[in-house]
Amino acid sequence: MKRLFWEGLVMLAVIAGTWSLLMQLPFTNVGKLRNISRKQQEKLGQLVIQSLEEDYPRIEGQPINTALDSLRNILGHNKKLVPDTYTIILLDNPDVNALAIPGNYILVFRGLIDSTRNADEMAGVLAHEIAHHQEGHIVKKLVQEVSFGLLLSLLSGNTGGTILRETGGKLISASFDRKQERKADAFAVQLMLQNNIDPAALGHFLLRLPYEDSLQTQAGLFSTHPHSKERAIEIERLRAQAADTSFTSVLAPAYWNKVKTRLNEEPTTAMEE
Amino acid sequence: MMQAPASLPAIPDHEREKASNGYLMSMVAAMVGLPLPIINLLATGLYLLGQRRQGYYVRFHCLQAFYSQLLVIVLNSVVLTWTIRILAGRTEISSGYLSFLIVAALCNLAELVSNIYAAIATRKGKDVRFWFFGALTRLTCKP
Repeated sequence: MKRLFWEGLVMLAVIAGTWSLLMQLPFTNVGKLRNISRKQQEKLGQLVIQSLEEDYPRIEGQPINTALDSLRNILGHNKKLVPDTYTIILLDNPDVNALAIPGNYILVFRGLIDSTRNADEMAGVLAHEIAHHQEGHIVKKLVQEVSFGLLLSLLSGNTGGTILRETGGKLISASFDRKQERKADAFAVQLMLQNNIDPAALGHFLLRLPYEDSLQTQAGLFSTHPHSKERAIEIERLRAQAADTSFTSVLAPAYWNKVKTRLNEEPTTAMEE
Repeated sequence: MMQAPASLPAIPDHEREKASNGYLMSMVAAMVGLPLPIINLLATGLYLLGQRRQGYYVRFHCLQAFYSQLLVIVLNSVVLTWTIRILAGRTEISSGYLSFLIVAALCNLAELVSNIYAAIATRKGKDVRFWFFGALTRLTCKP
């Protein structure tokens, strides 16, 4: 009996000791990734933008840039958000897509602007991307998609340009999971309701997404494209819970159509108002 | 994990085979039953019940094979539950989970190697006593 007791005790001690020792190994640093510094995130985001800009030039100085910043500021009328925290970058890419990337950047492709019917829809998309930032989905995606060695390099501060570029590339191609998309949609609906913007606009936009384009190959707002209908239904359900809210157009439809038209007429020239 | 096997005199061939099969049973059932950890325990338990009227040598090894499953059953059940919780999004992959996964994998490997060794040794008529489980079996299995 005594032998049984001691042997059992030794066995348990070996198991517990091994578990405890393994927890001290470097891979436990994965948990600390939540603390990737803002500076590192900013650097990573800039590299992603740089790599995309090689193929798709940045659109600057256009009325659309002002309109997008206005939408961001309107959405930012919330105690939890600081509007200027988010930088919206518009790229001359025909794809219908938007991406939230590290460093509080939101990339919007020109194809997405063209696809919107009004500014409410654009506000919905921006609210969705802001939600990914607010909910911490970007760092979670970093943890899930980027290789272990790369993460250790990031943590140790050994973040050379090549490493960051590789990380950025993976971030562009990786998508959020469905749970994260649902959370971001719910957050976006709340943000829109708080600013008297009709969340149905986001649902309508999702339902109108074309099926046969490059959306399937690139991550971003529509990475869960086949589930757009499901998402639109959920958005409508959340909207119905705030039935007594009165809605107004976030920007005048005529103004939105005008900036869209000018974007396609003179993509590189600023419009004088 | 194991004590050096000692040769036992006059163990009939059919008893050696049945004792050896006790260890083999858990390995085969583990392959069939994965990822459900309970299958190999059930298979070994049923085999043990079927051999309860056999001689001490057979009963001892079948019971030892059964007991040796208990530790990995507990570890595998924890891993399974933890993994399901992660897949369901209720918790996240942590260093604790990864470390436990490695510990469970090592224990399963040790159990597999021990079972293979014990199956071969008992087939040769040798006596094998596992660490802890051997003492537990000796306490509960009377000649």
